[in-house]
Amino acid sequence: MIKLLSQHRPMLRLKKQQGQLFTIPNTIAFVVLLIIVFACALAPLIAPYSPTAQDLSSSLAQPSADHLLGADKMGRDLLSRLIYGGRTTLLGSLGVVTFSIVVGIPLGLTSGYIGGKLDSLIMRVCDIVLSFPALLLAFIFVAGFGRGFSNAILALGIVYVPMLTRLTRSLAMVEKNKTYVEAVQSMGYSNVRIMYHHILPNCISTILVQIMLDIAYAILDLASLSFLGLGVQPPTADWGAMLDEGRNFLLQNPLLALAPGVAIILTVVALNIFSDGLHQYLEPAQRKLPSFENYEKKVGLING
Amino acid sequence: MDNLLEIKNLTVKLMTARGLVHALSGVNLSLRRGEIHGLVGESGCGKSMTSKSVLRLHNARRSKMTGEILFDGRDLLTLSDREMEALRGVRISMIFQDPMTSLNPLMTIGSQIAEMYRHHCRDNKQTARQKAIAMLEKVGIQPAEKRYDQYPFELSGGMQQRVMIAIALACSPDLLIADEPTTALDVTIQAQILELLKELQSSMKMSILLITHNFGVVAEICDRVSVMYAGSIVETGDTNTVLQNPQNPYSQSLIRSIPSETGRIGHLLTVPGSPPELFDVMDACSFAPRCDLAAAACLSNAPTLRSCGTNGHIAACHYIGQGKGGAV
Amino acid sequence: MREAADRTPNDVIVSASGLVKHYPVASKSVLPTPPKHLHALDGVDISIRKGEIFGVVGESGCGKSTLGRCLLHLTDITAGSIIFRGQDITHKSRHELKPLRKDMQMIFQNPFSSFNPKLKIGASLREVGHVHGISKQATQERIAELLDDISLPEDMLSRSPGELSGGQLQRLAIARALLLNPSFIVADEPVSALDVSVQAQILNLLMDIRSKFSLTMLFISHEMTVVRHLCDTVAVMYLGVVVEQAKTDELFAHLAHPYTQALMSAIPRVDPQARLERIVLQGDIPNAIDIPTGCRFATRCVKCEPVCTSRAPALRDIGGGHLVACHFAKGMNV
Repeated sequence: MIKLLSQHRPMLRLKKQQGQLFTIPNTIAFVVLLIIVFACALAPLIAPYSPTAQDLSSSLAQPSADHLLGADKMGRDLLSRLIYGGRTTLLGSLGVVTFSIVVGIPLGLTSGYIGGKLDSLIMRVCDIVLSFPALLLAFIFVAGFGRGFSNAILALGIVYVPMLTRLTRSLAMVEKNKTYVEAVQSMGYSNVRIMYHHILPNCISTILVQIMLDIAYAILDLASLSFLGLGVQPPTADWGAMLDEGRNFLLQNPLLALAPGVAIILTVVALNIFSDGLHQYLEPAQRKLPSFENYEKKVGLING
Repeated sequence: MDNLLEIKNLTVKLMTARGLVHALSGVNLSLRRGEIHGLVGESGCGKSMTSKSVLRLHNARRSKMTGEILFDGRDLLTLSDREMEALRGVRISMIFQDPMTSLNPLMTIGSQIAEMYRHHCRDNKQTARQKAIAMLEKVGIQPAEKRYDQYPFELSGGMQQRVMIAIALACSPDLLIADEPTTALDVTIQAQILELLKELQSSMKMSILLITHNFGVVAEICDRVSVMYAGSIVETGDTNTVLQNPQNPYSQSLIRSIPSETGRIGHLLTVPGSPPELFDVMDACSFAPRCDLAAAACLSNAPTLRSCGTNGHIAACHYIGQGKGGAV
Repeated sequence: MREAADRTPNDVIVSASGLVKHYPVASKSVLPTPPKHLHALDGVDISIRKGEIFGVVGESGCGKSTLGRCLLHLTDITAGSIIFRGQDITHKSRHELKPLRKDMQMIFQNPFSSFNPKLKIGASLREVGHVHGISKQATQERIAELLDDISLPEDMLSRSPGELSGGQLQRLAIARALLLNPSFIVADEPVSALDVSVQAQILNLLMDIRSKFSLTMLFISHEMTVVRHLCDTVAVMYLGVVVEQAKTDELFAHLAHPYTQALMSAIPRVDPQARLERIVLQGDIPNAIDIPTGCRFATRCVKCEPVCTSRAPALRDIGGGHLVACHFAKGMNV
């Protein structure tokens, strides 16, 4: 019989396994995100008060049994505003990113794959949009269409489109030159099929990471807009707006600024960690490997 | 018969995402002074790994090497990093397959050669430049003075390979390792480069370890040849002897599957299956699953290299001396 | 190929005449300069009959890959005409060509990148049938048949391209090309990226399917030994033109063009008997942008004379259908 001198025990498999995606940092980040999302979704059930209910007698109250995190100047419960505010912020950032995906990815694919004059046109338009700072564009929108959360989302969405378009375009240009694309062209597949069924899946992992990061940036950008009064209008709760109000009362109740601030940081960091883990999972070729000694210990080789 | 390079029982284990790969399992190779020694095998057999191991160019964090590599009597595996650096480029040099990516695109070709002299011989700018120009002429790049200031992208594949040879031979090493130097070149250019290597080898009196998968190249330029399969050497001997009378079944099948040079004969003789993935190491002949002659002995004992002819012709097969292995 | 016009259309599957393909080269100077072009193909005539394996051999830059792509109309043509099964397809649009795509397929050089890495092999193959309106049932049956022909098991269909070896992938690429039962296949260096033993397997496979499917093929390669083994007719290309063309046996028996002679002599040989006197060419292959006047090979030819640099030789028949483009062609016995 064949005498095995060493046993093959692959430590990492190329096949996707549950274990691969949920490493320790990934799982923690994912759980944090889940908690945040669920809490915001279930706001009506878990928030002790309405976010807009005023109680001037509790103005700037300290954390107590009544108000777990305290209350703001108008006597509105901070915890409730935090939970409801999360809804606004998260939905807002998702709106921004969805807009940029719906517009940006098709533009990028077309630009990269079809190329030629269409590509030049799209790129010039992107350059123009990119040259506007996000805030400036938001101001212009406000001047044109009035204040409001939806205008802020639209403005931000437009600003996010060029970056996603550029990314998709450069990935599409790389894929376009690969042999399998030439093969399907020679088989008479339509451009649309080639772009969405063949090229896009090969670019999607990098785009997905960018999208997750964009959600994080959108949260921050929306917070800045609200900070400046361009996003949500009072009395709607939103983490950015709360940060704006809270900084005036740092001495009386620091939680008014800290709570939304920490919420923003937590969400953004968790998104970053998870997107990094997702990328590692989707692109096995770029996985990090442990050192040889650790590997040997784990696998426990029979004969050295 | 002085051996410049002796590789004894070299074993290399590599860690990859798919598991532990036994890239080399006990490689035994000796290279004599002044000879051109061919190392032949198919993809994944370990020939590039062997050459990289001599110069210790592998990723130390991801691999483990055991065995001995004796260069002029010194075991290279026991040397410190600094001592290895003193050897690289000075006594042992290497040229690679794709010259376009092996040359620095941002430096002129002349300065890349001059860098060798400035770094290893501590020459000043002028001397290094003179020597580099002389080297360019030696490898057949004319006019050397003008070409000195050109960048790699301005040269053709054949010229780039000549530049790489110039860099490698700048300090007159004793051993040149050539890893598939002509595989990426057109056949007429390949002929030129092989001529050049032969010339330089005899004028500079150095030894060459030539890695290739092309038996024609081996036949034209190598004095001796070793055949590799699945991480170890299966046959070594004089070029003519091995090509006319291979003793190892794998060598035989490899030589037989070359499209005939004298005319069409119909189907080529092939061996079914493909080389094993090197995850498991077994105490058995790695070619046994595909070999016509496989028997119980082949599955329970790995054959070792044994003498099967004259002048150091050795092969690894249980059937040597039993009259079953034999002429093509 | 004047003879082509004389044959009945049914006999000739694909032919091209005066095929020219130039790529514009961007000028690096700020000043207006006359536009420069990369001469990939400079007037090539070709005619392939049904059941024939036509080999095109040459080194890098000679235009053989471009020729293959032009015949399949995968790129636009600068000048010339292409006739496929009696139809002139030179000026057909992409849309008009789609139904013809079933009939002409290509096998590519690099098997590792021939398939979409994100799709399982089965999905890739089934998609071909889907796009051309063939029923799922029929596609499945055809795939099963072809797997048998290429000697690969059914479970290959559920694997990803990344898990397979070069040899397996190239077989699958051949199966994919045969899926729609094309009348014409262009094989662009199908064995160049493979190991010697795998090359042999694939060449054997091509020979087998050739007889089973009575294939018409354009076989592109840079290796004369491979082409000799497989092809019926061989054309040798240099810098965008055909310099020699003949039936395989005739060509290899009497190499007439100096370039072909040099090419043959440059091949490193295992058998010392098979070695030819080495003609080592000086210099490199010139770039295809500034084509020299006269014979393109003149700069490297050992037999170059003054007439060679002033007048470009035309392809002429030196007997028995053996075409050579050289002022001094005479055969060299091998």
